[in-house]
Amino acid sequence: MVSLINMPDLVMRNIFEHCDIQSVMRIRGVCRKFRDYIDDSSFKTTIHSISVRIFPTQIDLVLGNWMIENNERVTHQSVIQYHYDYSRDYEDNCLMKCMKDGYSTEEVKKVLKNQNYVNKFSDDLERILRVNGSILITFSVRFAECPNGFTIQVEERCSSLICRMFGTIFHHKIEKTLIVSPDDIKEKETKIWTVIVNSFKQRQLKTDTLQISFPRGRFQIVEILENLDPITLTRLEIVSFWENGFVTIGYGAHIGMEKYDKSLSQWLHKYYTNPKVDSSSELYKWVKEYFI
Amino acid sequence: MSVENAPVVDVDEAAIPVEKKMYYRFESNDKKEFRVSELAIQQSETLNRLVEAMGYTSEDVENKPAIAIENIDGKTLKLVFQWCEHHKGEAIPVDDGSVPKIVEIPEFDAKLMDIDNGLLFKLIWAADYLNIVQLLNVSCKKVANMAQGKTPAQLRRVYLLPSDEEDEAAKRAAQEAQDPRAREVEEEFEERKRQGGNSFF
Repeated sequence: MVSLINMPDLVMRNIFEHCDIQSVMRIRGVCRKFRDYIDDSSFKTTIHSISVRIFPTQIDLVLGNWMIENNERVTHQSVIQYHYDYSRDYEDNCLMKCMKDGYSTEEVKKVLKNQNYVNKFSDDLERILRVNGSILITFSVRFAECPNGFTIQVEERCSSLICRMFGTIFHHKIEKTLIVSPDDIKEKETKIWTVIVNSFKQRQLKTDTLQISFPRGRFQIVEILENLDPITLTRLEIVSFWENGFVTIGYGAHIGMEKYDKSLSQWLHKYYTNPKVDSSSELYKWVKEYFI
Repeated sequence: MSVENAPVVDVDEAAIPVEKKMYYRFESNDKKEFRVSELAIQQSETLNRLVEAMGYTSEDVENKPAIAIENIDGKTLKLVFQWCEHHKGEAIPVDDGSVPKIVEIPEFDAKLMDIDNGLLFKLIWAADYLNIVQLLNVSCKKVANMAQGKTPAQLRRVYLLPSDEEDEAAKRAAQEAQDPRAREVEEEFEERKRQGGNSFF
């Protein structure tokens, strides 16, 4: 019997190129043959932009997808949120929310038991980056600026009516306090950074614009820049922040301060002397100014 | 099947110039014979090259044995040639690399592909084998559309994938091969499945 899994590679690619990334990831979960095929392949996907927002107990993954409507390509934005699920005690659960058309639509929720939300997010991002063979318009990562440790008030411990009634009668405290330590945040951020850097090491990221906002001194931006395809890259917006301020590199930013960063200067020189890069791009003009 | 009784797929004869009006005979692996116009054959790169290489005259077409297509059955080949006859003379699309490809499923194609999934997959396989670009595009698009909004369990049924039992048998076979790494991966997969699905997608 002919089934989808026995199809030649060209056919599988043709089918997956018509599917949105969510469908591809669902198909991946159907059987081990599909899982192996998708994990070992890279093909053009409908994704045109990937944006990652990292908050203290939550990570947002925003995917821009091309869709076909009335024979025209239109863009749709889907948001996948990975939360630390603090509604249950003593368990490491991941609360996921998905919004199909950006933040404006109603969310669909699901709790993944015994799964750490950072690991879950890292797995998903790694898979998406590995499978995606399309040139992106934007790849954006923003780490939240976190003070040294903070406290988060959780709304309710129990949301049921009976629980709330007892809470009112006995003045029982139904709120709980969650402390996220700076070490927790650092560990999480390092993991996410490593996933991104390692994914790009396997295959260069092809993106038109790169936007990164990250804590200064913790990570080396060159780790990411070195694994970008310089030919597709035309715009760079990097913000590195620390407790007392921030530095912007790239588009629209004043040049000069980054001369102290040797490895970055080397990367810029490599970019400047690469004959294949587009010399009319914003990034090239900026780098040219840097060397003059 | 004799030449006289071979099914002729609908052809608008007025649309074909006299000198082009040559019908090639093809035979499926279950010995069903089809007569297909020269113009329709051009939709298939594989068959077009084949007939060009053969250089048959109109007498050869009638007198020599039908060209055997050994990998495709009559039921599938009938659909393929119906599609080719309907779309004969149309330009063959060139892949410009854009994603997602802008592919519209015309009404005729939608009706033609209103078949059970087993036959649809055979049609796709044949379109790939015979290198019929546009038929491959529309049929792949149909299969991709089938995936939208479906759960993995529904997808397994739609795509005619092995059931859990068959999967188990494959897993046991893999374990018997005593590959420790393979077993490790299988166990991880089973563990995640047991946890009620490891993915939100």
